[in-house]
Amino acid sequence: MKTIENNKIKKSLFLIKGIVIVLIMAAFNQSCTNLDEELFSEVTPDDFFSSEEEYVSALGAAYTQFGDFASNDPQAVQETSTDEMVVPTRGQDWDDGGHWRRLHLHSWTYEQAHVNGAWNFGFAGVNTANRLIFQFQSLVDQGQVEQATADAFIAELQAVRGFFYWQLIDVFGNVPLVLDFATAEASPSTVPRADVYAAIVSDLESAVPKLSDAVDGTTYGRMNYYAGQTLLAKLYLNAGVYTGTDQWDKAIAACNEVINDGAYSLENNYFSNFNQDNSGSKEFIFAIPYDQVFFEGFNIAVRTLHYGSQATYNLTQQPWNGFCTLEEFYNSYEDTDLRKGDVGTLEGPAGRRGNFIAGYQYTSGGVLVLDDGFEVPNLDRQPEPLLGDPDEDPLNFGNMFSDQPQINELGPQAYRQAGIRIGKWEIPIGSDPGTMSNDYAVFRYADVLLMKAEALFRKGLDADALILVNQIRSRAGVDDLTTLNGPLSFDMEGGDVPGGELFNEIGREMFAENHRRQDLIRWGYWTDLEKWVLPFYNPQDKLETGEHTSIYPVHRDKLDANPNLTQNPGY
Amino acid sequence: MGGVNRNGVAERRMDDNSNRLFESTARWVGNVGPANLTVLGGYSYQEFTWEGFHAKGGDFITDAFTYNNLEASLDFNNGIGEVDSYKNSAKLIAFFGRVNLNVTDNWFLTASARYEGSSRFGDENKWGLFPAIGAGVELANFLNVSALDNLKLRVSYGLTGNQPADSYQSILRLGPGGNFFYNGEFVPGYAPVSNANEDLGWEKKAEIDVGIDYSLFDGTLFGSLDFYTRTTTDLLFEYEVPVPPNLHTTAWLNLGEIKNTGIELSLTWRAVQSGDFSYSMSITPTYYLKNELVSLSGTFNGAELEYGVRDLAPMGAPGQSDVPTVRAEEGKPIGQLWAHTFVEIDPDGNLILRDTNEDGTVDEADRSVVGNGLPDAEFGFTNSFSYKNLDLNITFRSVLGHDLNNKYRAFYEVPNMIGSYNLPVTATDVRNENGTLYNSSSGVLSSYHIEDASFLSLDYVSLGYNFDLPGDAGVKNLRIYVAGNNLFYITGYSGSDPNPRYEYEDDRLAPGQDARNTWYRARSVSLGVSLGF
Repeated sequence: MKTIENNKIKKSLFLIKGIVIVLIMAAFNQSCTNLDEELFSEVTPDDFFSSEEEYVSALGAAYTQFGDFASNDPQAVQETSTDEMVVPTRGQDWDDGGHWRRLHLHSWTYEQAHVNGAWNFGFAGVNTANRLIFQFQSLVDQGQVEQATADAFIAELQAVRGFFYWQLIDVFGNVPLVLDFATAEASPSTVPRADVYAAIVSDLESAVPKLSDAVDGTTYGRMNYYAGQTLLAKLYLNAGVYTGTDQWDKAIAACNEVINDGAYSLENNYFSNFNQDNSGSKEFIFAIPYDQVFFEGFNIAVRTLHYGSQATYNLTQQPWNGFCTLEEFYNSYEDTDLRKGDVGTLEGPAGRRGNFIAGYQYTSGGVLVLDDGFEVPNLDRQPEPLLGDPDEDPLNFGNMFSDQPQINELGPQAYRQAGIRIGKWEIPIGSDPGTMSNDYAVFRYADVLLMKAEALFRKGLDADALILVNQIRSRAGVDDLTTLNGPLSFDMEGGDVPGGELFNEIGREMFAENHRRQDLIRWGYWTDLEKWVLPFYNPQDKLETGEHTSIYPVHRDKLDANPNLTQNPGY
Repeated sequence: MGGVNRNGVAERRMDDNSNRLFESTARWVGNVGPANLTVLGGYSYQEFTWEGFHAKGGDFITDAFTYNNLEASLDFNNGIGEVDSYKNSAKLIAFFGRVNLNVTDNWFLTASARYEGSSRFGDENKWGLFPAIGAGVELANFLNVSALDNLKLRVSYGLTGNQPADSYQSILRLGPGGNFFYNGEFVPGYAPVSNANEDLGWEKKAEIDVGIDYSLFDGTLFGSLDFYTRTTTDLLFEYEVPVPPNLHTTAWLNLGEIKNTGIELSLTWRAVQSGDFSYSMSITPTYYLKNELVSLSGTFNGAELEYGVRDLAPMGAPGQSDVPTVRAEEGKPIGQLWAHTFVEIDPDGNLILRDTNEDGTVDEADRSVVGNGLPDAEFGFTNSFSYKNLDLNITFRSVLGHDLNNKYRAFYEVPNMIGSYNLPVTATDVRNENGTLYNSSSGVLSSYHIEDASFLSLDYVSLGYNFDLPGDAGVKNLRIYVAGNNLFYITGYSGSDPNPRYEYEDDRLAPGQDARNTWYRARSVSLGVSLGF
């Protein structure tokens, strides 16, 4: 029990404390209820956008979105589902819940993680472009920037947005259409593929003429006029797939815009486009300027090479032993084709570099690389025995010089050395395979020639098309074609097909450049995958040949976050 | 990363965290009629800052400098040296008050309120009011039962708040996010670093507790019994938001509701108190009646988010990327371990998983609940003996009913990797009754790797001796003892630590994951002398 005196003391203490509070708060130099956040390591938009340097830097955000294109989820959905690239389950790696095998077998579900990544890639680009268009327009409205200056930036951003929307309608078909940042709905609805196509093409047709036609350092790595026309050519070329109505004449016209000005030409050496020091290739219409330090994201070397390849290139990290090509695709190149490259033998490493890394592998010191992991043979295994990959066997990509297939199976136990690897982009000695410095051509002049050739062929103008195709072949050191017809690379026994050699040539030239899925779909071969599928023995794996697989499903996370999205048919 | 292939690597890091607190309280104690009243009021101001600096470089001509001459690293000349610095801050401000009322030691009432603000929330939601009220009655004073010393009935309700782990989630910030090749050189591209959630507010936990404190037979038997129910709303989580229109795929949201109920008992029995010998024991069981994820829905910038289901905590590399391990689902218990069901190793050595939906193929849709990551009950059991100057304490602890995903087994029970690394001995147990061994190099998570991790452990034992000291000694008491911690576990779990895992990477919705790199808990035995002056 407290006494009355105590209470008096308490009351006076209360007063004293009140005074002390005020004094101490003054010492803190802060309002005693101010909870505004103080930023130190970042800025708010209010403090940004005040100088030319900052505008350029803001524009840069649109281009950094391209970083995932060459090696990440876009590559997984565009390449590893085709007859030119596969990720078998090897050793303990690349099972990943069966996702990689499902890409090869076209049996993906709406939980396939790569599908979520491809969606995020596309819409990060679209949303960033939308945001920047809004911000530049706001600066004009506030009188901070001249309309003409802003228009140049805005047209360029429209072209960037067009690229990402092209990827989105190509991969997903039906997607939300959001072209304005300020009025975007919180949960936008799915729009049919043909309607998105129409909106994007119309947007590009008005924006592309406003783009710079300079072909020099000022537009390298950016969307100039010719990149805009190439993008339109891509959309027109695939218009039949996207809308049901072919646009071959428009495709030819757009290609002509690039070809006739003479601003680009084929490099004498195919690999000038893929060397580490390939910046400024005469063939690059739009390139991603990857750099080990300043622009990371290109890592095909770490994905494709074997663990033991670290010693071949003195790499700063051990590769992951994943991606490789399929045997029929490799065999579609003549041995004299400069794009194919040599095979390493027991006598020595491969001489000429090519699109492929095949055969026996050597250390940088010239000693055979030994594969120190091995599969245990199981001769009783059904339906096929597993012969096993012996310990300390010299590493031999694609099991060359034997009667065995290059890749024994898709899974569960592809040999770790199975499959010929992707060597198209130079892997310098001593480099980091996880962040390569080779620039990556999104649009390349050779591609424009082949697009025009295909459109001509579709219109029955085979002779004109052959001239263009033979330009490509001549550079590759192979004889001219006299007909575009021939057997398909994945079905050599199937006999001649109209345009078969043109289809094969597109594959040989554009290998691994995120091209093949579109080609297979546009040519109508997408559902023929039984003709190239690898043997698969995981009991749960199945092949899916339905037409619905020509577009991917919308990932479950996206459907959960937005109830207005509609799942694609068949999923 | 090591310095192999890089001519050595040196690194220095400086982090400075500061926390300034100003708190002032005033208290008034007095009588109002028959009631004793305590009134307390106060103000608290707390400011946190985190800042740091780090530099790292490789490629040295000599190793002699170690980290004392970082500019000698040629990495900096080549543009691949790393330098970074950062500074973040946060503030918490609170006004609080409490009133305690005690009427003749028979009736008790406590009411309090805390009006608290955090800088980490959106402008409109920085402040939250967190009241609490409790009442009690001492029934022993009314019942007049001689065996009953105390029987206090208590009821209370309280609301508390939780703030996010990171600052600045409510404001749109720009930061350098990758480079842009402009006129032949790289310039940084500035872009929003996250989706801002201007509405971010307090996570709120309401707790209702009904309990009794009891004491019988002059304190021979005493303890308490409590029933509680906690409802946590506006849970702070980072979740997927619609893309488009949002720039980033996730944002920090107030989303969902969790409900926990349980019963806690505490009982101590002073069993023997005769002459030189005494023995008492206490048990403290807790039963978790319910851990339910009531809702996973909310809104973000006008978008309705209705996550019926979230698959969490992916296994990861090698070979199990994008393989989830926990399913969070509205209306279901928290901690549903989620995987394929193991059926058998077939005659060819293939792993056969259950085709749950019987569609002829096994894919993501065939995963189901294969375990429960949270415990059903736990108890402690303490025994204290003393004889003359000797004392002995023995404490057992048990947690029951939880399962763990044994990731070490799920990754490495792959017999065919014997050529590459040492396998767990259990790798050779993955075979069928005919002896056919699992014939694969791939780890594939299934119910086979989910284990019941219930256990009983001897947590603590101490034996001590108190010396009798003369009253005029400089030392008032002197005790020597030997004590052991964490002495043994009795469990069917095959991993290194059967204790429950309540979170996975700070995610409370993903318990039950035993990481591959779990260390054994240290067993310690100590010998000590304690002196009191």
